[in-house]
Amino acid sequence: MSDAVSLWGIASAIGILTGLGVGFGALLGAVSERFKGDDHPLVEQIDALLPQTQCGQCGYPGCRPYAEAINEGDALNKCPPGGEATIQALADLLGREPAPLDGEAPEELQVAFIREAECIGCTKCIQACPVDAIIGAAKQMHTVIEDECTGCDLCVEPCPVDCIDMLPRSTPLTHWQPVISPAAGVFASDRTLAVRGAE
Amino acid sequence: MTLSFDFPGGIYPPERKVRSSQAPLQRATLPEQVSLPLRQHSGRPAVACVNPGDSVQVGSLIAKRDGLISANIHASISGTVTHVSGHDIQIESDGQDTWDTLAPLSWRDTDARTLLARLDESGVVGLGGAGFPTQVKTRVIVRHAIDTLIVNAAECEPYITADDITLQRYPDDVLEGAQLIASLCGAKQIIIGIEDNKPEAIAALEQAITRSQLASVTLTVIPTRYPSGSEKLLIKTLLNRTVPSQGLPADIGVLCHNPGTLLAALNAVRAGQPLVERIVTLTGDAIARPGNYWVRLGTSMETLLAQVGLDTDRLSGVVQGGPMMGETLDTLQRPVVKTTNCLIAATQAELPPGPQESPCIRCGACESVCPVQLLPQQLHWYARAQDDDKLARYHLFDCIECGACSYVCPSHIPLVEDYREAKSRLRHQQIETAKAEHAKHRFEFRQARLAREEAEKQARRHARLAQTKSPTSNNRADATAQPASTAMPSAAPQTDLRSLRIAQSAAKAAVRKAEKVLAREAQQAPHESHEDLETQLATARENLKVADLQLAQARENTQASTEESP
Amino acid sequence: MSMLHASHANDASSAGTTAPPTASLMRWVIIATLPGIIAMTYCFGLGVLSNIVLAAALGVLFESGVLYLRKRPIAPALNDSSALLTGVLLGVSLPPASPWWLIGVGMIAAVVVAKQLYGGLGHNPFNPAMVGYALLLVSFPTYMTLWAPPQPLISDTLWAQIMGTLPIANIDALSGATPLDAFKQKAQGMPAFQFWASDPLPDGTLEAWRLISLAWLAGGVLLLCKRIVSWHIPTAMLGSLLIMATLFYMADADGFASPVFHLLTGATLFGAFFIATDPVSAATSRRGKLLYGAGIGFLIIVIRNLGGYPDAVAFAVLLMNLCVPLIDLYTVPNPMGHPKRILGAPR
Repeated sequence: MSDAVSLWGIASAIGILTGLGVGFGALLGAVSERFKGDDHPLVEQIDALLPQTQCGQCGYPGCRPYAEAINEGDALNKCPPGGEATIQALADLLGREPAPLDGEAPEELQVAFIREAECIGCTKCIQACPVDAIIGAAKQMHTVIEDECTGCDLCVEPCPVDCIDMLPRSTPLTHWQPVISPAAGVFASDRTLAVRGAE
Repeated sequence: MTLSFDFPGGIYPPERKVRSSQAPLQRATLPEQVSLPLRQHSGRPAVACVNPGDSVQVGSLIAKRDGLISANIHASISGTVTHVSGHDIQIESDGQDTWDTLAPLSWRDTDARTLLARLDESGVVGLGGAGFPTQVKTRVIVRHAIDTLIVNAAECEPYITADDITLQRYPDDVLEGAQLIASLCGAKQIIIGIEDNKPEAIAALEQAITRSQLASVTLTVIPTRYPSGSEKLLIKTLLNRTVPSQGLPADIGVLCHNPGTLLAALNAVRAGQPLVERIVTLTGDAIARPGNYWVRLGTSMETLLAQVGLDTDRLSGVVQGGPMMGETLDTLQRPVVKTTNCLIAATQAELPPGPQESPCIRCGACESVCPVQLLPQQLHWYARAQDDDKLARYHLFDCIECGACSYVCPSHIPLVEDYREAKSRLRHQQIETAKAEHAKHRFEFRQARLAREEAEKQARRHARLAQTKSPTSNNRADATAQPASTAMPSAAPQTDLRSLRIAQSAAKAAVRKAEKVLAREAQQAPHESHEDLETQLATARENLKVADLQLAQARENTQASTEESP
Repeated sequence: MSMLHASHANDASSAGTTAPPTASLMRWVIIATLPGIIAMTYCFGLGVLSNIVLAAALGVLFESGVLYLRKRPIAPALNDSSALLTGVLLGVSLPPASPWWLIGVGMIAAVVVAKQLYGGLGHNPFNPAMVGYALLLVSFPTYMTLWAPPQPLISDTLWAQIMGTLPIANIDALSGATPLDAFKQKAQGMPAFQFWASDPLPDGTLEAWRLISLAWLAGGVLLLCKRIVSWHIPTAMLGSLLIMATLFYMADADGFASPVFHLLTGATLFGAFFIATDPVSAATSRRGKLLYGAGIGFLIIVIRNLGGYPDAVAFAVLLMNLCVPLIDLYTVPNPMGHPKRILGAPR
């Protein structure tokens, strides 16, 4: 008799636990289906953090391929145009340790400029441009569309007559930013001060 | 008088309007030379159309508007152009003050198109502070039905009395100007909103309304409380309508103009006089003869203030605009422009420098005065931490920068400065993000184009091979020509074909999606450029072509291999 | 921008419409504690004052020490009187003439841990004084529940405080109990009227606590009049406390104390005006403050009636401090021009 009771006890325990497991499993499944976020795949998220200059300084032909490489475990610090900010953002996203930048970050935003008088119309820079920002045809003068140029300087190397310069990007007055420094000696804002000091 | 509604928050700063409103309106002496900046309005700067050495008269066009949102600029004195640069045009006076006006028009007998052209030619912009071109504002009827024109005479900022004086001196003209604009934008009613601290202006307006016997004009006196003159709040107070976030008054059928603008518009039409002068309030304790003055645009602030008896020893700073929303000038070598409504030459005692900032204790004083019901203390926190997600979530961009929060902050935190900085940083970021996104799409398009070219090349080669092969029609030739397909096990082409088919349908879906997105956007905002979406559509199409070509080729290969296998 | 500021806009038209600057705000709160302090001193002797003086002095000392270590300017931080206020608030919460080390531990927890380690004034998520109090209550319950009955300060008491021992050597537990404490310890099943009839407290104890509560109320009214605290938190807290107490009382009048008893004993009114209203650790928006206050009132009654502690203001406040980020998230007010939303996270 006591055997039967304990057997019944064991059976009921197993039954209840199984029931609970199945029940909660179903609930979790239903919830995850119901509230499914439209999360982009990881590669998309990585790609979104890269500066999209398509410069190839990371050793990959463009930002997307580098994003794929990062996803497969490549280092985070190969993007000079993004600088430390991009490394930090990538490290936050992927939960990896940020590493110091491999290479030098450009000091200011640049665009390519073709000295048109010297251009011989070889189209080599057009083929090199990753974003089709150079217009021109064979034996015709080429020029750079400033708004489309990402400043990747991939066109500088192939030019046989070295007529391409990297110049600072012109900023319209409407993009002007005020420079406001917080009052000194305010200890509540020391975090901000530290951030600004680091920049 | 109609019912007025309430807005939350608000403050009662000292008014300090008496000194300038007691003096009668006067004319400032003609300046010896003027410097007219090319950007005195919102939008793009005007383009100079005179050269140094040209002689001009008052009202001669010297710079033309560039693009839709921009305004013409006219010479404000007669004389010789001495300097033209990318930023400004300088004119030396000949002391004659000869005018070059346009033909006077009677607005009741002139069609709307001519009147709009006249406003455009005369370079009339909003004189309240933003400097938005009046003709562009009036043209909104193309997209929005306007039923109400509001004359914003609230003038809630301390010190400023320019609109008050305008209404006292020219009530009939302002009223007529309002009718002119109302008829242009099709507004059925005109509401004048004015704070109850301007009894003379209210009396003058009441008389003017009685004289004109217009049924469509209502004068609503609202209680004095800062910032009742903010466009959105005034609309809420007068009509109980709420301008949607990031929206315009026109979205709810309202246009707002300030009295000075209406007067300038009427002068441009009735007298053919372009916008070359405006009423400026000159006040502050460091000035001996404060008051309102008709000032030619381009007059140097230094000479202007010297005229009214500036005491440089007592002067601690000059503020352009009101003390709440204006800016402190670091130099007086600046000209009066179309949007200069007030200059305050303040003494140390009058506007003392802010005391040392102490930490925010979240006391909530700012929250209780915020007229748009934001949480300034949270915004302050997130702005300092540069937490952009949170800033967006707490609606930073709904802030009207009225300064009420800074005014009451017991810790003396310059809150609005923080917000302005954060706003400009976010705007800058948006521009950069859009640029990166654009570059990405162009890169993808290029990749797709290269892939398509490659696939086409493959297809052509394939076709050539097939042609050379077909006369012989030999199994062995086929085997040598395509070692890849024969070398592969027979299952491989099958899976290859399947994945290609999947890729092709995915590409088709991508094209459909891109088309749908573009069509929707084009419908919602027909006047904007959708270049980016077009690039994305083109990329999707290129990808589809590649998939098609690859699939076709793979099919042929499979056919060939199935033919040879039995 | 905003060159004008309320603090020097001293024209007739704008006087008296806004709260004073932060530093004087803190001083006003300290001034408002005076009625309560006087009443407590009257009832419990000068041990109350020595508590406050010691706590405030230690508060300032610890604050300067930490600021020195953090390499922050010391003068402006001391000038805002916030450490002083924390000392006063903790001082009045402790039993009169508490041992010096007890006060020291409490102030370290309050000023060093709860405030400065989180970044100083304005950055602390928890009410500093209540962190100190809760730590002491949990760690040294014997010292924290001995409210010596009203008695004049004798040199023995002061001596005991300096020596760090209990003020009265052989005090019996009940004679030093607060009314809340005594009620908590009443025998199971004994009806309330029978309990009170048994004269459980020394003469005048209940009246003393009522007097003190009313004195805190007077200070609170001063704060409300000076616009230093908004009405939202005290009203919501006292309202929900009364509602909850009434519900319990209606359910079992014998087992639970009456709403008036809850209102006028313990730290209820002190907490409502001086602890819960600490703006730094309270909820931000007006709706949030209402929720926050109501939550404190609810928790006080639940803990007092069902929990193991006689009073619960500190725990209720700290628990609601924990909820502040959540409350803030769901009560962001609707700015002008946005669609109406009653409660919910902004998008």
